[in-house]
Amino acid sequence: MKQYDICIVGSGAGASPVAYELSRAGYRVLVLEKGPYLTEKDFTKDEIAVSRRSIYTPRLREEQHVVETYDSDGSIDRVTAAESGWNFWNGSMVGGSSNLMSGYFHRMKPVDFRLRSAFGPVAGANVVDWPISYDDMEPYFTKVEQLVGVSGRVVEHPFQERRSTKDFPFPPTWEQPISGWFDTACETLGYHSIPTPRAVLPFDALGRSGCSYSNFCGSYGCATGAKGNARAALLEKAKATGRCDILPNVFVYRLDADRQHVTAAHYFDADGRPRTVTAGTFVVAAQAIESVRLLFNSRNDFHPDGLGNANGQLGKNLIFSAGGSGQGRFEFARLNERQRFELMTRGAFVNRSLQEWYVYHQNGRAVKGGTIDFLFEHANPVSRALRELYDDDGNLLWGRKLQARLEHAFTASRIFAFEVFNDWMPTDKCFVSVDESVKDKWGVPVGKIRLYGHPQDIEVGNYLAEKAESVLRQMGAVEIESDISSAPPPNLVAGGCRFGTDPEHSVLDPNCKMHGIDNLYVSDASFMPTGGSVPYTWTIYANAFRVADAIMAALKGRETGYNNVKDS
Amino acid sequence: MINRRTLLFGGAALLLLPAESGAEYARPVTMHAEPYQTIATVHRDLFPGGGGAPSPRLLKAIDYLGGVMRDPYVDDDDKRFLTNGARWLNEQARKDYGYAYYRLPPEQRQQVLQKASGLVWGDNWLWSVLSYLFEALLSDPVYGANTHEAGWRWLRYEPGYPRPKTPLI
Ligand SMILES: Cc1cc2nc3c(=O)[nH]c(=O)nc-3n(C[C@H](O)[C@H](O)[C@H](O)COP(=O)(O)OP(=O)(O)OC[C@H]3O[C@@H](n4cnc5c(N)ncnc54)[C@H](O)[C@@H]3O)c2cc1C
Ligand code: SF4
Repeated sequence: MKQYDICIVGSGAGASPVAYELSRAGYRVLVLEKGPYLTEKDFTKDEIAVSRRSIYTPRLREEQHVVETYDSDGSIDRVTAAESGWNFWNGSMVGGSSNLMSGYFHRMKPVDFRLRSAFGPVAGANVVDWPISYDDMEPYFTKVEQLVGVSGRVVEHPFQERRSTKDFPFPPTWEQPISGWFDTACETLGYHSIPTPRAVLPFDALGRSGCSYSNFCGSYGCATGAKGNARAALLEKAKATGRCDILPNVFVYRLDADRQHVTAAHYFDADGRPRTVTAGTFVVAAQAIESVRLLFNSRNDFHPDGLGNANGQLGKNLIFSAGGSGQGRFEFARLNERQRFELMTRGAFVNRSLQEWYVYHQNGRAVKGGTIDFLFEHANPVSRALRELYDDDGNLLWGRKLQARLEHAFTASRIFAFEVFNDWMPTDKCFVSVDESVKDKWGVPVGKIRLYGHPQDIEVGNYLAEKAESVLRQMGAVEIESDISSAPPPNLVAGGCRFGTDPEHSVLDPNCKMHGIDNLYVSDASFMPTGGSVPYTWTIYANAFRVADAIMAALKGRETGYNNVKDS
Repeated sequence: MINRRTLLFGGAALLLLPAESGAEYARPVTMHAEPYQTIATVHRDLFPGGGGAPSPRLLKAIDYLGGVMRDPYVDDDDKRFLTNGARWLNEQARKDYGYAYYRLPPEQRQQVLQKASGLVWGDNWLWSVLSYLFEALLSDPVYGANTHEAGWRWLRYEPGYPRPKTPLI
């Protein structure tokens, strides 16, 4: 029977650095992942399977969430995902949703770590400073650049964060000619155009192949290994040590704990049989919503309200990336031959963003702003076609009019888009719990998500969207529009297990170890008290490397080879 | 989605077959089944082809819809909605013109479509029919539609690589 020191629940961005570091340091690691083990050879650009039928996420009839929203009169609207189709799953497979990310990577900035001190309290929101600083995290951001592989180019701009290395370890990926148009427009407007760092290898390195510019990156698995997903970048290397076992297709439904220790994890194996594993240290990294759900479902006599919930903090302050998106259209009719050719160059990345308004001033006060990433509309043809179904007055089109519109959209124009990322204010009104009345296919209560967007999120989002629109206008785009709302992007989720020094107001300590429990860590995005105005994954990876160091420090001197897996 | 589902009501889902997957996603359907006859006619009215655009017949759009009806990844409610919508369209056509939709002349069919598109269920249903028609137009031919890549060629669309060798569903 195998002996394990560390048992990790989940295998994504939050889990893999722990598996990588601990297995390389000589500890025996077990990773339990509910999804299948897919590798490069399994990934194709099949829009029907991947995007239209969402084969990488569970079927909502079998596994779902309950979603609650506030009506305008303050009452709560409750709907199950099976009824509404509202899908909060992101990617169930070894490596988690990092397999499907686009890999837009930005570091959080120093100011993100002290939001409360820098901007003061926000009415109706629970803004706090982080218990660690940017300087504590910087070495880990650098580690991610080097081990996961981040490509880019450092340029001077007003919010360039401090770096311990001069530049990225990998140069930028191949860029679309429109990036030059973007740079020119920004120069005219006096903005600093930034090459977007990407978790994509431009050439073969780190034992992985370089990017093949497949034109289908976000939402799709990578067939070359260039994308810095958790499996390709870290788990395969952890496995190669011979000390990391990865069990796919197993669903962890409960952790056992006595007063101060987690003693076992219970899971259903690929055949639906209940099994149990014991280990010296447990790490939960099942993505924010599912991690919280597991901790609630692990309630027992010692922890009657769930693990880590002695002070009612579990699941609180759920956050998403606030903001939204926008777009404009470049019409062939307005371009010369060369510009048309440049516009239609396919596969290369736009790789441009703006952080000009990471902090801006309005009505005499400093406001925390955010990041704007620029990109082309996703190449998925069915979704692109569906966007053309209604005319400008909102009437459904069909017949020759529809055909003409499709032809024009695909062959005589191209949509250039942007995404706005700003802080989602953490509040008492946005949280995760479980719904005892709705069970998944294993009979386990599902996660219940209460959604609320603070008005400030939308104000800031709109401010940034206006700036982004001004760039598109300067570039010559038409039909410019944006959509900023409090609708949460399910793929950019964090919070629910805040870290902090005070157990009254947090679930985890500054090392992401659960307050009051000696051997349980949470290493996905749940720890984040605020999210920064950037997509989260670079921070998730970096923090998980930091947590790995903390676990190793705690384990120092202890015996390894401690535990085992057995039938329930 | 929510609006659409609130409109669903019982009624036999004529086309529901046991879930199965296989290489032939779009295999020939039995055209005398009324929903298929209706939807095949709606396909032609919504997307006639011509001027470079492939016809639904060339795309095997109705056989592809048969695949959708067997697809375990498509929600049963969505499948029922497709067949129920065909039934409601025929009811509307019979009420206004005395015959099922697929038996009416083109001008009257356009009138029925116009009327339906102004109703919540009709707008949702036409959207749904068109979304699967677009799948037939733009999916990888491995699914059995988009014959000879006719949809891709018409829109000068280049697929991503690697392409699927077999349908994943
Ligand atoms: C389409 C898409 C595009 C994205 N683009 C970007 C981007 O450009 N930039 C960026 O920074 N981020 C992006 N992201 C977000 C990024 O993928 C996530 O932030 C990151 O993967 C989260 O890491 P995680 O470890 O918390 O969760 P995940 O990576 O999702 O891993 C969680 C894993 O836990 C497993 N699991 C859940 N419950 C259990 C259980 N009970 N038992 C066993 N296993 C379980 C899940 O199956 C999953 O594999 C994108 C995401 C998606 C889906
Ligand atoms: S090959 Fe490049 S473009 Fe394609 S999925 Fe991988 S990283 Fe993305």
